[in-house]
Amino acid sequence: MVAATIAILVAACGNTAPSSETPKNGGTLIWALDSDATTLNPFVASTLPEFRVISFLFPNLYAGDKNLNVVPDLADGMPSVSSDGLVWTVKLKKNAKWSDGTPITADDVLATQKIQGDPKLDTDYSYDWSKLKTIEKVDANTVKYTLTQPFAPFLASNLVGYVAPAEVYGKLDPAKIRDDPVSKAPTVFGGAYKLDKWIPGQEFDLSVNPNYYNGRPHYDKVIGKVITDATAAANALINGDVAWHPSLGESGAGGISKAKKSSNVQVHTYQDLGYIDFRMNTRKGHIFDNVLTRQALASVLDKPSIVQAATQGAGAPLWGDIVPASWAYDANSVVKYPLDVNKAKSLMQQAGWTIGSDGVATRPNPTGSGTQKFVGKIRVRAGKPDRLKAAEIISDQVKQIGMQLTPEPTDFKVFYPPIQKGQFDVFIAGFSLTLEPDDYSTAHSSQLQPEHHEGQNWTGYSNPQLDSLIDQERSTVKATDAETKAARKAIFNQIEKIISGDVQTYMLWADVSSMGWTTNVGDVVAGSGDNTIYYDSNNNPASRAQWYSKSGK
Amino acid sequence: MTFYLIRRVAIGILLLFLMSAMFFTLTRVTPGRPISVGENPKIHQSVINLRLHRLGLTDEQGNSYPIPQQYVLYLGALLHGDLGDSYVNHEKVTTLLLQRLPNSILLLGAALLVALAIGIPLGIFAATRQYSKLDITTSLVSYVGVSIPSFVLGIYLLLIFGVILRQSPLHWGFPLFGMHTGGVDDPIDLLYHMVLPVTSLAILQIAIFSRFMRASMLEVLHQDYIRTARAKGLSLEKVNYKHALRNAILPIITLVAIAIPQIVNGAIITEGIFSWPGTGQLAFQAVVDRDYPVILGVVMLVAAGTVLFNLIADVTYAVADPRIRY
Repeated sequence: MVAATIAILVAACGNTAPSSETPKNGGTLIWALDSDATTLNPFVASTLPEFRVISFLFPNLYAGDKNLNVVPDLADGMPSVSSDGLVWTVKLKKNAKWSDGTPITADDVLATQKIQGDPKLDTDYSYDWSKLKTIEKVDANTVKYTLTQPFAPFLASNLVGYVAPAEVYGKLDPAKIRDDPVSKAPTVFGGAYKLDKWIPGQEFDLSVNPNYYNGRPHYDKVIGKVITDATAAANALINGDVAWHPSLGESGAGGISKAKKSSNVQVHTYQDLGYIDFRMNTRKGHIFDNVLTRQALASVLDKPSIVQAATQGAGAPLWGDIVPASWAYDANSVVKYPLDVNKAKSLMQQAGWTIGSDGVATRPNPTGSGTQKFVGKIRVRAGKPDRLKAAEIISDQVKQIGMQLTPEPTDFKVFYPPIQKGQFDVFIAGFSLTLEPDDYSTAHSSQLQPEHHEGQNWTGYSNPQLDSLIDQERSTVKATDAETKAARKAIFNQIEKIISGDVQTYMLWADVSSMGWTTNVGDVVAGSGDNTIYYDSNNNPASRAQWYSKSGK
Repeated sequence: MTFYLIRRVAIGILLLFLMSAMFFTLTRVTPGRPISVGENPKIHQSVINLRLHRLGLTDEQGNSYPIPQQYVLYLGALLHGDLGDSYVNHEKVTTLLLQRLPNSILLLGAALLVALAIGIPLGIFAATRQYSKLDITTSLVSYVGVSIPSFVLGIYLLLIFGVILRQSPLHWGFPLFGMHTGGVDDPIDLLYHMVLPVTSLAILQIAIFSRFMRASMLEVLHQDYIRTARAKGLSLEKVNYKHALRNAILPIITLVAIAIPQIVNGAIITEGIFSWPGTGQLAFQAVVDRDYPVILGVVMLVAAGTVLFNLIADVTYAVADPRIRY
């Protein structure tokens, strides 16, 4: 199932109190989409705009609440987990129905899992059911999952997500599911709304689903308008042409501050679930193969000023790979490297590098005869000005310790193939995180690429102590979600110490996002840290059913 | 005339054939695959093979066809009116084009009509009153119009009429984005949404048409037969609008013939600014996504349109000017 994240934001400020008015039914919610969807098939969908539309149409088994804790949605209560952590039993709400009046049952949950788990499913979205041994229907409203081993991320990664009607999707061949007409025109819905019309490139017209299991949503209609220009979309919010703009942050610092100044708009700005980092190739023979060299890099860079200059305030400096928005974040667990050029120079010396007369560091070639010069390229995506700016500043600052790194802007379509083959020095990339903070795929040695066939640990970093901690964190399952999180957080703290201390990757910043609504939308509630992440995409579609139009229009 | 037509059509087909070969090869030799494995590292190889096969890039076993063979397959499908499948939308390119084409024709067609309706009379008016204050003003304004790219104009129109005026106490202005809900069902609402994009496109064309019309009209007005007509005692109106205009309009026909295929192309930037769901926006998104079949589809459509409308322009010449014989 679609993964979503659970998180607690650090700063507890800016909560918006629910409106004192009584919510009323009626009106149309027009919202801004930054690009068109290519499919409305939940199994095929892979982009944010697609999930944003689909989240209105399909039910979610579990969701994230305003503080990003997992809460039941279609499920009736939290899952009961056996004492060995292997058997997870989930009950569904009784009387939940699809838009055609047929009941939503365990069969639908089973069929959804079966399609997602099919290795031949044609999708660009990555579903991972490898820890599931069996899935059984206990009765019409109860599903039992048996796992191969205790697996803590199961709740947020596998149980938070949509359920699709078995009657419609169960009949399709997963390898050809993309081309079925139902991908463009879904017929049965279980979410708060039904699709009336999709006008390509223009809009999605939705109307209320009278059978919605959480009760009638307040707005009669929901229209997703495709507005491709970020500035036009921000102005459309200020003008009141759209009532909700989930990607307000895309319009830049100017757009956000203009929206904040407008008396017609309510804006929430918060640290999002995504980060940008400077990922080095640590394999033997590469310039960053020594931990001391990486620590030298961390000590010569002035992170706060790089982040401020590159993002214009749309990024928060980050030291570990768990972002502040996550419940597993602990500011004190990370090792920070303050700016210290002398220390950086001495670390370079200890690593065996000496700065030559041309200002470039050299060392005896570790994989052959002769010497190796500290010369490399920073691969950075073209069309991402903030990352390019960061690459330029870094390239300039590291010259002080003899590192000659040249930014190399590269088109997205050809960006990853050399990285997946291990043929790179450094790359700057963005990672969108799920609500699950597990860093197994980017840090565990079993996830090394290209050494193994899958995984995103492209750096070549391998540390048995880290592997063991990650394995431990993933297998810690307690009786309740709160107990599990508390136990895992203690292990995450040790993991972050290693990752940040060894500079497994040099973290740059966590994304700062903004969302805006017109003041006519009632009952918009922010969580801690002013976050409204839970309203986005399929994190918690049910929460949007609480919104209402104050004017009734 | 018949022989001329056959020859022109044959040359046109050859041109289209050469262009398709050129663009096809260009899109195939550009680095980057239509399926980016980075998006889902777990995707099954058989699914990738199936997808690439459906896109006409490999055989069923996943072996890549050589580019010439891919081109022959493409050409075969093209002859049946099939422009291939979009890499991104997994839909026929013809379907995607048919969804967007009416919107572009509506927007750019309206802009062209407005430009003709204003530009031509303005040109004639200026030419018949050469060096008058009105002529100088028209010339100045057209220079400015020609100099401003339509996307710059679009942004300013958006800022003034879509933002400043609407956010001012007047609360008056035009919408910021293209067609509204039920645009097709509600013509008045549709017109309201068309005002800004049509204006931003038409201003440039008004400037061009009026400049050309003025120059062409002036050239004709100084010819001997016009003086003769005046000497015969014909009224100024009759000389200007019957004798001079018919000859002066010829170059404009070419201009319009070149402008019409652009309607199919859409206005990439203007459609982007005003979120108008036309072929321009489709082409732009296709370029961003490297959706080659769609790019190729739009290019081929514009190429075919250009060849066709140039032919129509040549035939129209013969109708407008009986002296022209082919």
